[in-house]
Amino acid sequence: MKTVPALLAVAALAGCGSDDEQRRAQPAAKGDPGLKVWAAMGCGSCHTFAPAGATATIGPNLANSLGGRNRAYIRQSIVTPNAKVYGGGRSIMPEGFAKRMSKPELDALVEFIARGVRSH
Amino acid sequence: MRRCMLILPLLLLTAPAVAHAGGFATTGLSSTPEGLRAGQAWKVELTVLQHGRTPLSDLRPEIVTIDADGNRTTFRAHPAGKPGRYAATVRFPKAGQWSYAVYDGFNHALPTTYPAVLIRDTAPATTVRRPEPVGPPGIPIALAGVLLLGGFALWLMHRRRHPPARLA
Repeated sequence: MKTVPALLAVAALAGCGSDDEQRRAQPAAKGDPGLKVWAAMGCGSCHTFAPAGATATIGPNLANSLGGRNRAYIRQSIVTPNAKVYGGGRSIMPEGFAKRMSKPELDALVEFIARGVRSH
Repeated sequence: MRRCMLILPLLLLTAPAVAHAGGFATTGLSSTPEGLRAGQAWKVELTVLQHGRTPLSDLRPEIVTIDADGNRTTFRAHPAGKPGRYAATVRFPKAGQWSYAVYDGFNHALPTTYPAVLIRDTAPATTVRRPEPVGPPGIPIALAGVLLLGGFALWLMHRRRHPPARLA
């Protein structure tokens, strides 16, 4: 019987990335440093995020998982992906991902995502 | 048996997603094509990491550009000397709105997409400015004409005063 909750957790994790992007946000501003960090870190390989033109479904759609969240929550989701996992289960986002970024880069990325999810 | 019957549909539902999650890679770009002009080279380095962690070598990543009419052009990236690093040179041949996507060569079904980019028209050709001649261009010609006429008049006057000797 232990297998059912485990499978449900897997199903939740799988389902979190399957939302199609229906609502469109304003595209990123020209020269947005956050978009540059987004592209450099390959965030768009996993996430759907309209301001970044990203449509991947490996991870959750950020409009859903981070919509309505503050900057501190967004930062924590990047720095410690398993602290709070959208949909439950365990995040497949690499731990230590934020260590590849400088503090200004992380700030720019958080700001970029915060602005993007606010427009939803 | 009854438990198996319950779990089986769940397994069938989640299996593709689990397989999907096991076979992904992230692709980072060293730059974006923002601010480029038509025909200008966009030299970009790709970093492909399996599961966002392990550099993946021996791949053939590609960058696909798509113009406003939907025409696609593929630019292949080549190994850049370090594990997981690939380099590509991309050109957007004409001005206008373009979209682009990166295929990491690891899982071609999962391209990484980016916001559309506006490619500006080519820079106006630089012209070599020559120094303008001082005064209107007709003056040197007129001066030459006056000198020529003066010389001719002097020659005529000289000829009248000293007519050439006739042979007897």
